Amino acid sequence: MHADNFYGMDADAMIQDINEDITVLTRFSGGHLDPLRFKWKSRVFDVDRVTGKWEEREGHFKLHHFAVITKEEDYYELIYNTRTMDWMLSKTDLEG
Amino acid sequence: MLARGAHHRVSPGKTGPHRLIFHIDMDAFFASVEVMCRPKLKGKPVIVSGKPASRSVVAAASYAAREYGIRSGMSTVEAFRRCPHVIAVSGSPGQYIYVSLELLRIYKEHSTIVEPYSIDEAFVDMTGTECTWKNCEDVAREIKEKIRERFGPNLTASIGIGPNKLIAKMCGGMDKPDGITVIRPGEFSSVFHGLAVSEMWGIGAKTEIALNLMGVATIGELSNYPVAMLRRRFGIMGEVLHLMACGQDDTPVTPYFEGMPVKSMGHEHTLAEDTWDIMEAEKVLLRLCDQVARRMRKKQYLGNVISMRLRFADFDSISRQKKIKYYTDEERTLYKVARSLLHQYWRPGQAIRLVGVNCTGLIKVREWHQIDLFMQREEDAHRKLLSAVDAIRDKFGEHAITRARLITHNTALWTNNRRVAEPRFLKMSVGTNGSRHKSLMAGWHDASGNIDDVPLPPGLSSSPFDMLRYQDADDKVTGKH
Repeated sequence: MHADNFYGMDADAMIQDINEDITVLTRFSGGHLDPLRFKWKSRVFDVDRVTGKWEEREGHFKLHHFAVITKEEDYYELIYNTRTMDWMLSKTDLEG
Repeated sequence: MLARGAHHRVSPGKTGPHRLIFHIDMDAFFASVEVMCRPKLKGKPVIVSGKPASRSVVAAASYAAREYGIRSGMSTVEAFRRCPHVIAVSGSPGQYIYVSLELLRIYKEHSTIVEPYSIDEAFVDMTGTECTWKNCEDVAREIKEKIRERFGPNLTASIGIGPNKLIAKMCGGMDKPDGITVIRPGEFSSVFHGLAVSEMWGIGAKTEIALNLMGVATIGELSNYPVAMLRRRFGIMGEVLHLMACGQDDTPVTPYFEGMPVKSMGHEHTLAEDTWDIMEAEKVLLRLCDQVARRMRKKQYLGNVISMRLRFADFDSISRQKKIKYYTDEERTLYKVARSLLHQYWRPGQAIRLVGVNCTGLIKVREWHQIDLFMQREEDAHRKLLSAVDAIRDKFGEHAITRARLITHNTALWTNNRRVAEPRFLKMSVGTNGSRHKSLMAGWHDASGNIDDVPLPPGLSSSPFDMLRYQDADDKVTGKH
């Protein structure tokens, strides 16, 4: 029996890919950058804490990933691209 | 304090007695990293895997998921059968690698001799540092505390401490999760001799059966078994088995900066669906050859033995190899040989499940240059094309450019979750007469990869094309150009 049909859910059903450019208020300090607040779909979200940080290389450039929890206790994954110097909202957790 | 001690050693990775080795194993690593990022997952059954509908397997299961009998390596479908409400997370390999490298940094504060055994395990040779048998548990606690400070409470490690790698590894698994186990010199037999031989590190199912047939069920019985008979049955490994059963292991901890000599480079891929279509298998093979050749060029290796692996739908596998007369790092050579092996050993009517390619007989490029004095190497247009492709990948990443014929699924382009190149194609052609042709193209391709002016799929206007693609004389491209 097909798992999707049987259980009616897909892998990581709570996580939704967004992949949209966003504006992020960022603190650059001591060689680090930290997202403090971001705007998505005309709403402003305050970052409460960064729960994960990692980097990936794309050739000469870096993609800085941030797993963040907002003040509303919602989960978002943000990516800062050093080539384009843009922020992207990569994913969010539909259930917070 | 301990880091200073680490510099007192005379030579790294010593063998022999009086060693003090830590084995640090992260608990349910991938799942724990996911819980670290999404604390709401804590305490819930979580697996890191692909889609349940796909043929993916569980890469890691949280301890809550393990209570349902879910284990790493189990099919995702089976995991859902056992626990319908399990949360399957697709995982972020880049994140796991990053955390793993950060962990190595922490270990290196205690000793310079750190050997990453896998992405979530490492051996640390504490011999000669300020860590002794008296304070080793305190040092282990200090390492765990540093991990907690750096990554929070959801990422824990189990640490095994022993006089060699074998014992450290074996005792590391005795108190999971978040435990510390110390087996001091001379304590091995009292702890392990009563356990089944399968509990010994390195003994797989086949060896276990063979030993059981010889009347050897426990590690203690193996240690007392005549070495000559073990040697007769297992060859040189028989002696190794005896030493292991006695808790002896002289293998040095190999610091990661020394690296292990590379003996082979290969890739394999399990198809999303079994295929009877040899053209489909060829495409996968070409992509794998491209990846292997790219790695070889990056690491400056050349190889002259190429093997091709197939697994059929009934899980029967074959691996065939061919030695060529010269060394290569070019995908077209790997592909030519692998493809001929594929055609030779493919079983028409039997579906293919997995395709793999491997290159051995590796030498460093500089060694080849010695041979090069006698065998003039052909520097052709293809070589220049490869240099251009490598340069693009070096600058924009591995996914920035690919062979035109490998782009067969439209979704692969526009579901890419980030831009890796400008929205246009670079077409680089090398004619059969060696003439080169470059042009920038904008357009789409149809499902079979033919370049054409096919209209963009709906909703694509805001998503740029994400790849550059190239083709050469070996590509069979049949579209408009």
